[in-house]
Amino acid sequence: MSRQSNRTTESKKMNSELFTLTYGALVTQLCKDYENDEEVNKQLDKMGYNIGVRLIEDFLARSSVGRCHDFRETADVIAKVAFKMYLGITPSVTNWSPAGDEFSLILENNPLVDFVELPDNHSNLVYSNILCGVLRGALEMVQMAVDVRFAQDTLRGDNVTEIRMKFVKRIEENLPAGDE
Amino acid sequence: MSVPDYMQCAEDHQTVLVVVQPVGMVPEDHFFRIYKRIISVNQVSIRDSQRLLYIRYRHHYPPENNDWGDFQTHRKVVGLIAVTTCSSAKEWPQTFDRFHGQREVFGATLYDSRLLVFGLQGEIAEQSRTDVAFYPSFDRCEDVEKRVEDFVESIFIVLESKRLDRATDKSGDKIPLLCVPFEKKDFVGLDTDSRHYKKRCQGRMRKHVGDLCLQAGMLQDALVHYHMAVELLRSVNDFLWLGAALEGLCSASVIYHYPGGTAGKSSGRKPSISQAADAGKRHRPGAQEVLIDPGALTTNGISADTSSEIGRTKNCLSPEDIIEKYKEAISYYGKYKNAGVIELEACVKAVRVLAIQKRAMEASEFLQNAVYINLGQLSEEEKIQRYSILSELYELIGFHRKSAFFKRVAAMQCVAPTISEPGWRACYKLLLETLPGYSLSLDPKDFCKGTHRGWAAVQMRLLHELVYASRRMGNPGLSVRHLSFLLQTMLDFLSDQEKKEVTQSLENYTSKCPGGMEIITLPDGLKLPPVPFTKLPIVKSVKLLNLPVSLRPHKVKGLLGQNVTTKSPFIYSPIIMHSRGEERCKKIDFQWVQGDVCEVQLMVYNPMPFELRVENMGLLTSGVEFESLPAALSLPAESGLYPVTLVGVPRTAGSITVNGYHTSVFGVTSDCLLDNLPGLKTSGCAVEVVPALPRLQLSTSLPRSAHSLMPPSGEELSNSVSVQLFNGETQQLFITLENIGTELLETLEVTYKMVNTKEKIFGEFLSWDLQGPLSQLPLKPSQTVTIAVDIRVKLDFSGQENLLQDLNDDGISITGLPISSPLRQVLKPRAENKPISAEANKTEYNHIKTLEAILHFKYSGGLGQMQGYYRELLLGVHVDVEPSVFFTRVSALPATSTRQCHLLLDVFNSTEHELTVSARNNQDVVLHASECQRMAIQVDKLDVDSLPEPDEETLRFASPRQLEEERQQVQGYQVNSKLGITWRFPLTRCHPSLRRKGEASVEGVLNQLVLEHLQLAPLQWDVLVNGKACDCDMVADCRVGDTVPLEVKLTNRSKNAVGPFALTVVLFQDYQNGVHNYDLQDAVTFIGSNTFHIDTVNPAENRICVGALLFLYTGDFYLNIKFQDDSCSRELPLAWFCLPNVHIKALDPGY
Amino acid sequence: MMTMLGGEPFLLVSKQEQQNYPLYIRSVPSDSELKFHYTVHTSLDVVEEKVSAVGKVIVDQRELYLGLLYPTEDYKVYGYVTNSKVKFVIVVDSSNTSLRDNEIRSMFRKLHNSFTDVMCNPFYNPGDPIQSKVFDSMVSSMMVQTC
Repeated sequence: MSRQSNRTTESKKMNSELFTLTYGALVTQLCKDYENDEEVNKQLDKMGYNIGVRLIEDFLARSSVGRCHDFRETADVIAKVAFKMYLGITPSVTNWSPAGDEFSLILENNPLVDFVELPDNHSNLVYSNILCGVLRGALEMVQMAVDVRFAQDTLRGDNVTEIRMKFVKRIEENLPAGDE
Repeated sequence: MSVPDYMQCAEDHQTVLVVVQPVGMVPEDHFFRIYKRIISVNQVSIRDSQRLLYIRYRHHYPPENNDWGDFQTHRKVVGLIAVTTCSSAKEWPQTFDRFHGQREVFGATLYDSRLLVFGLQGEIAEQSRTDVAFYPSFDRCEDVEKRVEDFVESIFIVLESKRLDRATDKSGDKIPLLCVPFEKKDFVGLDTDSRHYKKRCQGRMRKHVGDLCLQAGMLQDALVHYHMAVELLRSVNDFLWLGAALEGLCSASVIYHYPGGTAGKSSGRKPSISQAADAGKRHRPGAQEVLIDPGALTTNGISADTSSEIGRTKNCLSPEDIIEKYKEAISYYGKYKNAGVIELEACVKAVRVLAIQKRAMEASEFLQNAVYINLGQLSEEEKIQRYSILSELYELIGFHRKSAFFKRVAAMQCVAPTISEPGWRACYKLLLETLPGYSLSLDPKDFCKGTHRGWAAVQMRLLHELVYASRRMGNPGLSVRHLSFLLQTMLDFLSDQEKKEVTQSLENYTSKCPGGMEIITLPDGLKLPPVPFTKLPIVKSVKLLNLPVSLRPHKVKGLLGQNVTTKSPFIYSPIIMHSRGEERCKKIDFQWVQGDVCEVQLMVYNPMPFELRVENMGLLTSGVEFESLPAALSLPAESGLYPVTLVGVPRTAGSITVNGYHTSVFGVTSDCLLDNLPGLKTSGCAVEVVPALPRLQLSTSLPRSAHSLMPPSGEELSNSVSVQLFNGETQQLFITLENIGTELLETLEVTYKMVNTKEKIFGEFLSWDLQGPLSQLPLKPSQTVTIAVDIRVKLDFSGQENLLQDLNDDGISITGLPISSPLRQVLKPRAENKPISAEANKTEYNHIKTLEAILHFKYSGGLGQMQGYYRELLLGVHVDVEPSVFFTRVSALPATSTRQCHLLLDVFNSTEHELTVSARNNQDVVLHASECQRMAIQVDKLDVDSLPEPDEETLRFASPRQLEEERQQVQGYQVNSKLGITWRFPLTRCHPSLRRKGEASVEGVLNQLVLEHLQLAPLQWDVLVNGKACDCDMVADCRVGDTVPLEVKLTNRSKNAVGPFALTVVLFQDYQNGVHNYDLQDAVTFIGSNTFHIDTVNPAENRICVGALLFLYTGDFYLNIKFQDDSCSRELPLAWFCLPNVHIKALDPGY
Repeated sequence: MMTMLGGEPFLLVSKQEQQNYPLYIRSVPSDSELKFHYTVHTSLDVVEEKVSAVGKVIVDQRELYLGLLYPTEDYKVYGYVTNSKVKFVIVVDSSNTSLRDNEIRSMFRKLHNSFTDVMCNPFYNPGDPIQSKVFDSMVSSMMVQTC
């Protein structure tokens, strides 16, 4: 229990190159094992989901963020608190759909892709797809079903990295979410 | 001086130069034999002085180099040994004149000369001259070495005298100015009296004396003189000679520091000398081991202290200083264009010293300098020599790449366009020598694993050059080899265009000289290993294929021992016997058969940007004799993986290992071994070949089956047939086996096995007689044998649902309800009986049942049979059975006789045709389609004991229920065969396909109750009236007033003792209106008791009870014999107590 | 005009010292590329000599710059070796006087940094030829500056 009480907003520092290389090693190993980009994307999403469903507890404990009133507030918490806390970046929230159920996170600088250059034979790989899984998993634990995907990616020559997030529905029952 | 001597080294400064030359006609080989003996005398220990004189021999020496002799005395020719032949005294004067002439060439500098005359004998040869030695022939000249030593000693005397002469510093004398050839004109008209001039003369002379001292073996003196010379010359800026003095200093120091020499092993001195650490402490081989300080022995030394230990270390340069001084000297030489050769040689000498000092970087600077020294117009040969020597020197300092670079330049120089006769051989030879510098070996094995080694771009260039050079040499075989190597090892670096070009030229070469797998040995002994094209195509996996199912050999079980070798004595071992690395050698668990075509599948990839044609691709094997049947293939550009099947026939039995494959691509044949293929996948390449077995081909009289039979064990069928039959029908199947192999068919065994069926079949589904076919064995190749197999289908279509028990007016009767009719089945599918296939539903729907069986033909012959192998042919038999007639209801009625009963059968015709049903002893019944009729058949009851008992084996293992079922089955069969019910389509129907007949079986519908009725009870009761057995409708007659004897006989046919029983005889009259009158005391009287007592009856025994009746009136009487309630009779089934009814007619005695 | 390359660290691949092979080569103009191959290839002798000399003489271990390897008539060849024994070689026209030791030194440092990034790319297998676009453009920009 003492561990729980020790959680603060301060985080331990970790070398970003080691982090980036670790993630890179993971992705390339998946590429070797599955030999199919689509399958790798799926695996990354799954892994991310499994991270997300756990990470949300840590996030809530650290951030002491309360219940969000609407999707806009959720977007802000994700961008300004969550991304800041775990990746040290603050993406901007833009491109709201008229219905207010869909928005974009614009990442000027994605720490996962430092050094990375996609070879030509991996044109379908969504390298940072783990982020989608994390967001999906985390939000599912707070009763929000969302659809997350990469709309733009600097790795594929776009100027910025854009994560598009769409609200699907509220999950009414607190279904026990297991590992996918 | 224009010809540099690149082989010079620092220690050459202490040698004296002797030229050995032939005079007149001397055969070259003879001359060089003598020359070799002469040069073996390369150091001579001088008597009395304990000094060593080193001699450098040359057989050619340009006289203009001799002109530099004053500059550096080791360049001066001081001795001449002439070798000549002279056969007669007459020729002698002329010969001697020639010798004189030769002497004139080096005249000015010669200290002494010798003439060795071969062949002359007689008067002239007798005279004793010091300068001429006579030998009768080249073979008889034992004292040549001795003569040379004497000669050297004489040179030493002159040298020593000159040294002493010059060394004595007579300051009053005018010292002559020594100069080099190109200086001479500069000094004309110079003031010879100036201090400057004098100093110059002194300095140069000092330097000269230093040289002489060094040559005379007085190292310390030489150092002193050089030091003085340096001082003098520096003061007058006489740079060329200052350089020479500095170089002299260096040379002397090098000799002191490196007694082993700097030239490397190529021109090393005698090792006994080089072992000495100190030049001053050398000792002669063979002389007494006395260490003598050379300085102490100089009788006329300049001063004592120069020779002392202190002086030695003081005057000698340190290793670092040597290099500094060399640098300085070279910079001075560099000031004079005409001293280029001197400068170049000094560079080379310095490099050799640095190489010994392992100072490669500085050495490379000297060499770099040497590269830029301009020697003016050089001949091509000189250029080649120069580049070669640069290459050698770079090699010496460990700059292998640089060395290779210059060697390659030298090679190119050999074939420069300016050369009239290009030396392609020399070029090729030099190119080969550059290979290590480019990390290139000519063995493709070095390149088959891991990342590419070395610099591909330059390696490729070099290989191209080798190809070209070898072609110009007129050796296309070599070109092919090199080009193959290029293609194989550099494939990844070749552009598409280059790939095309290389292969095109390769094809051009191979059209003249095909490439193969032999090792090419070059004249100098270099071996060029073959280059198998393991990348054309790239083989990714190798898989040995099993034989087709019908050809696979099987081992007879239980025949272990003959040829079966197990690696371990244990049946099971947790230790895996083979390691990972041996995976390729692992035996595969199937076998090949001698004489049969065996297949190996390769997955190949074509890396070339064009279609690749592979000719003659076949297997390489070891072990048994194997006849490979090569294939040719054509692979589209840059694509794969394609399966390629290579085939061959093992010609002997034993173990075979597939080691690789051979190909022929672009005219180059390659043997590619699997061990050398990186990243190859294989599941083992060794397989056992069993001895030859016969081969059979099977054909049948019935059409091939469209159904795919799936045997549960996963076997594959070689063939299968299908037929449609009505239930009860029998069909004959003729199977013809042809021996299509080369071996005799000696044994044949046929069995069958039902597949996928839970249907209850009555009788044997398949039956055959092998007697005939077996009598034809052994069957020779191409002969045939035919087997007739009866397919008999007897299924129960009424279903096995419980026949409901129903007691109706017939007494005990059992009715098969329509519940079991096929119509009912449609409504209520019986899932448990369904085969799993999709078709099953359909057959169910159509009321068709399917029977499947597999016929196994095990056969063997030849050598394979001796080793316990056989082959198996599997024939699938698929029969769709349509219902014909079946019985919807069966019941049994007691007949009048206790030994018989009536079977009532409701027969249903489920076909769409009219048919006739007949039974033994019965009338035919004609049934229309879907019509049902009842048949009543009287049958004798079964004697249970006459049925065969199940054998002991089944008794022991079967459960009581199984036994019961089996018993029922046997009984059913018995009943059925008694009935003999058959059906047939009327013959009048013309369609031949409908001229069919079959049996109709009741077996399935018979149940326990019916069967019980059909059984003879184990207790046989017989009633005899008047001694006559009463049964059936037999009426016993008797007369009123007579005593009528009545016997009851019990025969016990059961297995246990029965009884005792008590029977009561009751008489009654039947008024035929339902009224039975038992009140007959007045009409009939028993004589004795009306109760019979029967004691215990043992099995197979009988007992007779006798009583009597007396009828008082006429009439029809019936006897009813009843059992009194008795505990022991209760336990037995009621049916066992079935006594016949007795009908007695009492008649008027008047009749 | 210059050529650059990384050499395979022979410590990693093989015990043989002659394992050096090019990871990357760029030259302007590209038509005389083979000539540069020879120049750079032979310069490795000097690089090896210098690297092995580092062990003998106590030199600042952190000094990766090997300096001028050797001058030829037309070019100056400079060398640089990382502690993982990856070698960089720059060849410049000897008439180019604008490039002094310091400039060359900083060019090597830039190359080294960029090479480190390439190595960190998870899709790059150490030992393979470098095909990174980022590295390409960095080298191009460097070459434009110096020409």
